Amino acid sequence: MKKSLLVAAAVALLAGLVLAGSGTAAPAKAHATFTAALVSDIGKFNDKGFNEGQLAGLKRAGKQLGIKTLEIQSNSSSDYLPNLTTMVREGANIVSAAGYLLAPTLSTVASQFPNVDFTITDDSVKGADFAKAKSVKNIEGLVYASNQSGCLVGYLAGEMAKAKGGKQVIGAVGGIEIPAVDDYIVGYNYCAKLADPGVKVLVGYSQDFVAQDKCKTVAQDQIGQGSQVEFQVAGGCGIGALNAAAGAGIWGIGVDVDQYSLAKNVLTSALKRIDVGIFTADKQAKSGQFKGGSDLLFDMKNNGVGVGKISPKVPKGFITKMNQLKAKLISGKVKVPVAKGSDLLGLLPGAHVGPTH
Amino acid sequence: MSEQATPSANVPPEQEPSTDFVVRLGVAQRAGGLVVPVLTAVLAFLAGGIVVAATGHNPLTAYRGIWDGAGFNWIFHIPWNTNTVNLDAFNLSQTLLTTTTLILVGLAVAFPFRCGLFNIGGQGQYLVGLIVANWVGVSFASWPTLPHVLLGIGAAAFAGAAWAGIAGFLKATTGAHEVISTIMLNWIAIWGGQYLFGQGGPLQNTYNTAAPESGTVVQSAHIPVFWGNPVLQGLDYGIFVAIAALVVFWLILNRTTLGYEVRAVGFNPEAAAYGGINVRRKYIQAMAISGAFAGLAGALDMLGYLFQFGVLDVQASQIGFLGIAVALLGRNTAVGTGIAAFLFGGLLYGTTRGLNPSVFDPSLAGNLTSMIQGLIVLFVGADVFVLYIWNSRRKLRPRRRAEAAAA
Repeated sequence: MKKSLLVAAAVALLAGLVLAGSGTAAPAKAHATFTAALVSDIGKFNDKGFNEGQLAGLKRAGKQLGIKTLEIQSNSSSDYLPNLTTMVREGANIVSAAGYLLAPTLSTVASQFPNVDFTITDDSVKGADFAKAKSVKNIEGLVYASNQSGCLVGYLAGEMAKAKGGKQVIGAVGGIEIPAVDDYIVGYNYCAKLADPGVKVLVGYSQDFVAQDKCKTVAQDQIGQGSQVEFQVAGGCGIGALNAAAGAGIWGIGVDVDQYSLAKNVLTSALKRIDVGIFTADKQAKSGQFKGGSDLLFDMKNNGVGVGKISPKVPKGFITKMNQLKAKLISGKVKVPVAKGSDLLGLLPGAHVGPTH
Repeated sequence: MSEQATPSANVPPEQEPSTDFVVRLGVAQRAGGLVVPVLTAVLAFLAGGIVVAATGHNPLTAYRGIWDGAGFNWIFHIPWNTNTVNLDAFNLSQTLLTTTTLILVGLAVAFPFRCGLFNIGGQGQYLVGLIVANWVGVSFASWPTLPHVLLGIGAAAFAGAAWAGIAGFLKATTGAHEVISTIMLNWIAIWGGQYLFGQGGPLQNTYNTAAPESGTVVQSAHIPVFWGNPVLQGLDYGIFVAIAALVVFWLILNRTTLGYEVRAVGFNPEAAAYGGINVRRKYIQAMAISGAFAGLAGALDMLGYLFQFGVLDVQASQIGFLGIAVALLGRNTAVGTGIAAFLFGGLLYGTTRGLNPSVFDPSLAGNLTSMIQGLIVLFVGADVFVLYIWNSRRKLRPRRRAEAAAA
């Protein structure tokens, strides 16, 4: 009795499977529409910064270029590989990796799918991250001239310190002493001294990009030495530096995205327009202009970097002077130095190594 | 087993029919039946569906997307296409990869449960195993594959056992509650991992200082892949180790003196002590065995497909905690844990990496797993709660009648 029931159930199950199967028998994906995809890093798409900005760029590409877009979130680093390959298998023509954390995985995946275009945000295919890769001929690096945005905020910082009078000191809090961080600081240092030749620039590193308390300590140390403005170049950790500045009643400067609303007393933010990079790469790939094996530069000229919201307390005259400097950066009259080992060397016209302080 | 039968024995014969369901639910639950876990899962999925509907998506389409994303639709391929260039085959291989981990972290919770201990430290034990396996995998580069892999797995399981054994030891000697001590040990493992792989840490690699991470496991310590492209995270032999662990779990519990004693302590520690069982020793042994399972999970992940772990990954990793839901849904049995691990493996992979993003926003879908996981834990706890309420209601009723009569 029981056995016959089991058999009946098994038959019914099998019948169900076959019926259901007939409905899913056509897994072949049509490649008719151009598809662009984006894989987040473990910061996830709701990070109010790096990943969210790139997603905005992808969405814009979808709307303005009339292409299909796919985005997929990585919750851990073990997601990178399946996410990248899934995007390829879903039929993406171009897959963007959101940042250097994906670089090792990307070089593996890209070599397995030579007919798909890949980009990596904020990383150079000629840099150390791809030194071990067999081939980068279908990867394009999206590199940002962060020294130029560091320059403009540094100029404002110098003007503010000069206006305040007294001891001329400003500071910068970096995460780790790497070129990606130091490009900002070198620009900051260079242009602060254009505004105020007598200014002293203090530079400290928290050795962390996440723990806010570590950046807070470094910033407080610099404030103790008389710093008037604190520039944070340490991602989430740097929010601690902005808070330290707000607590001491001095100015803070945000990084990467507009951080005006993250703390009190934010002077402005040094921006990387990561959405512009994704949009541009997708547009290139759609029109067959994709240049694998090379880097795409985003600087002041193509609006790839810039400054965020400026505090209304900043005198209008300072902003006018800053915009004049911006025009000189665009025309190439002023050449801002970069950090030692920077991806920008040989890519940004006239890039040369300069000091951080 | 006598106390297991008490709820049904307590039921008075004049019970009205509507109460039958609750009582039977209790019997089924205590008997380790299939009804409750299945009902629990169905309810959790229904509730999840309602939330999906509330976000303006069609729940059926979403679940279909998850089903496909987990690679379960692969069975409809006639003949079965095992080439993982095919998305469905790839998804299934990835689901099985996740299942491997979940089986072991599930067992790490299930085993001490049978001894009356609640091990919340699966995540910490998993991390310890992962770190040790990474160290072994990065070192001994000249070794051949088999001894290298075995050393990595063995060392990681031993480390996990030692880590969990600390909680067992504290429980046995000082009476420190294992829930508290395992949670504490999780944090020590997390911060320890961050230090070891972190900036300037002893296990940090030298070639990527921008994002501090561990060294890369050398080729000889990779567990061989039998399904899929070895370069693109194919399915490795680790899954057979996990299945073997299920058998070992069953054997220890049901066919050894140790298992008998562990279960006896689980039913009633005082009675077990009266019967001559060294309860303290069982606590340490149960925790150590549990930690070995979790450490093994870490080793299989590290040597099977991760090969490297970053500081940010140490913070982001959550899979050990999912073991609690797996064990609870699996009723702390070997077969149940295996099935629950497969379900959660599919759910986890199907809602995140495998899910076609155009079907359902993956940033929302990822949370669906957490939600269903939470609901399952809640419902598993709740059926005990329902019984409790029911029992106390029965006790209250005569008192109320007496009060009414007095008034």
